[in-house]
Amino acid sequence: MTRRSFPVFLRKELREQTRSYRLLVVGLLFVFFGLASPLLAKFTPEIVKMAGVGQNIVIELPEPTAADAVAQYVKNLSQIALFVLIFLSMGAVVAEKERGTAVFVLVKPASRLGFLAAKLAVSWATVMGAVILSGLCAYGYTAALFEPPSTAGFVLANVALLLHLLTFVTTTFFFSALARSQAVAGVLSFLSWILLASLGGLGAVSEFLPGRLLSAAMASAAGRPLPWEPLVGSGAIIAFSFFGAVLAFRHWEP
Amino acid sequence: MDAIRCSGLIKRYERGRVLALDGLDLAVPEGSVFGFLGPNGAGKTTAIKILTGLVEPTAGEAWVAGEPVTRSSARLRSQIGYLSQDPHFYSWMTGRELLVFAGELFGTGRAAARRRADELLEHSGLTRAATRRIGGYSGGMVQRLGIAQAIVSEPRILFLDEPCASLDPLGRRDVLGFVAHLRGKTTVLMSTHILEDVERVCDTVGIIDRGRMVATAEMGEIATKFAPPVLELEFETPEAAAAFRDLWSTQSRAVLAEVVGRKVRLGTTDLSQARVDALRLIATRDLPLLRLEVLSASLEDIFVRLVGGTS
Repeated sequence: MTRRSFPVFLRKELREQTRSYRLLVVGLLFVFFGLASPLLAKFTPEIVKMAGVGQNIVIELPEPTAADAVAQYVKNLSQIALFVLIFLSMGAVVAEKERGTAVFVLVKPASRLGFLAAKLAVSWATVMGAVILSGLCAYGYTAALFEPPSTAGFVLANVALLLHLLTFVTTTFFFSALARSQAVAGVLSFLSWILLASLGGLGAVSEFLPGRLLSAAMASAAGRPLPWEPLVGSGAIIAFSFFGAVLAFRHWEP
Repeated sequence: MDAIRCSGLIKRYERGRVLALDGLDLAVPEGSVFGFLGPNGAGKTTAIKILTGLVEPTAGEAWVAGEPVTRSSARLRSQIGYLSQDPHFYSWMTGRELLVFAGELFGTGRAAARRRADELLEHSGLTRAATRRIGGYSGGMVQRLGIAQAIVSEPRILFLDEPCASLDPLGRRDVLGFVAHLRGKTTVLMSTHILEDVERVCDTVGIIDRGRMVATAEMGEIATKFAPPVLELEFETPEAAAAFRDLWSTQSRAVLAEVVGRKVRLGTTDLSQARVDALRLIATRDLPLLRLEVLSASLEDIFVRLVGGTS
């Protein structure tokens, strides 16, 4: 039954993404950050220097490099873009529960697993597409303003960044399946983001947290390999979140 | 054979604090249009949600189309259609897209789902609005689309939860006509608190109150089964009616008199005796009587009699 209803749900989700302009909003946002990050890295030191001129202060800053552009790109996507992604994803399931459209679907012989899997698959595909677009823009602008970064390193950095974003999109999805209102789902999602970010000082455990993927992304852009610990840790959080969402939604009653 | 049957259904909410169904027993004959009548909060929606597999009962058993009702039963869901009390559909979809989507969820191929969608759009009078977004539909159009999606798979059993609650008279006429058209082909369980709707289309009626079935009968039998005829007396003035009521209550405690304006209604099993007693009292006090009539109990009388204390 899941195999039969999954493609139907998938088509519905894809259509909804386009009709609601979510695909366009996410795409444009990521393209913007892909273009703006190298620009910011290039011109921020000059802006800061100019700010000191009026006050007769000489500010000495090192010449920006391609690594700074990559760092700026990682920072923008993992903060502002992630904030927007959480905001857009928090209603994925709970909005259907609140509006009553979930009842219309669930009384048909279609599986709840198929319903959830299609939602998450389209959500992931959107983020993946957006990161690819953003990465291409960032790579091109970094190459134009500085020197071309290592292609392999930049791809690895994007893989780490993508995994970081997918981890939080999936935890948001879990809270959306669990909560009874969009507000609660949103609050829980943002709290979990803050909590996971603030656990960075927990010694060995912090190596497994998704936040570690960000420093790994910057390091891999400089040619270092990705450490396995945050990959495993984030994978575990994703698996837990998805199965948690399935379990919560299986027990949900309208 | 019963198309829907349940025994001893109990549903508790809020960790047992709220009792929505209190041992509900129900049997709906195949092919009938069953009016599921009850005041607000009687448990109609909860019962329908259990019977459609959306909600798990706390206790009790139910069968729909011969299938035991469970939340995971896809076989059950493939045989039923359902329209919720306050239906909401994807506002960004067009009416046609929604019906095709609903058909595909039943495993119908795309081409067949499109054909069926066009058929239903025509049948529901929505062909001209087929390519418009549902977000722009009126309440009546949404309701007609709701019924169309509920019968997209030509279900054996159709559950309609208050299908006319939000409709204007024309919308109600359309929906009830549609339901009447299904008689004999599909078993319909229609919940409502509008007595007139039940009288217009249902052949069987069940009255639920506080989570229990208090009466079930065929429409033709319900009056004789649950409510005796009523003797109605109309006086010239409300004061005369009230005076009669006071007089009656001192004479007969077994038969209650209900005053509505200038009218007094006497509910009794012995009509002849009541008529004689009433006329004797009127004559002794010389009360200005305009009319005396024996009325058969309406569904409203029965409803008020059975659940009046709670609604």
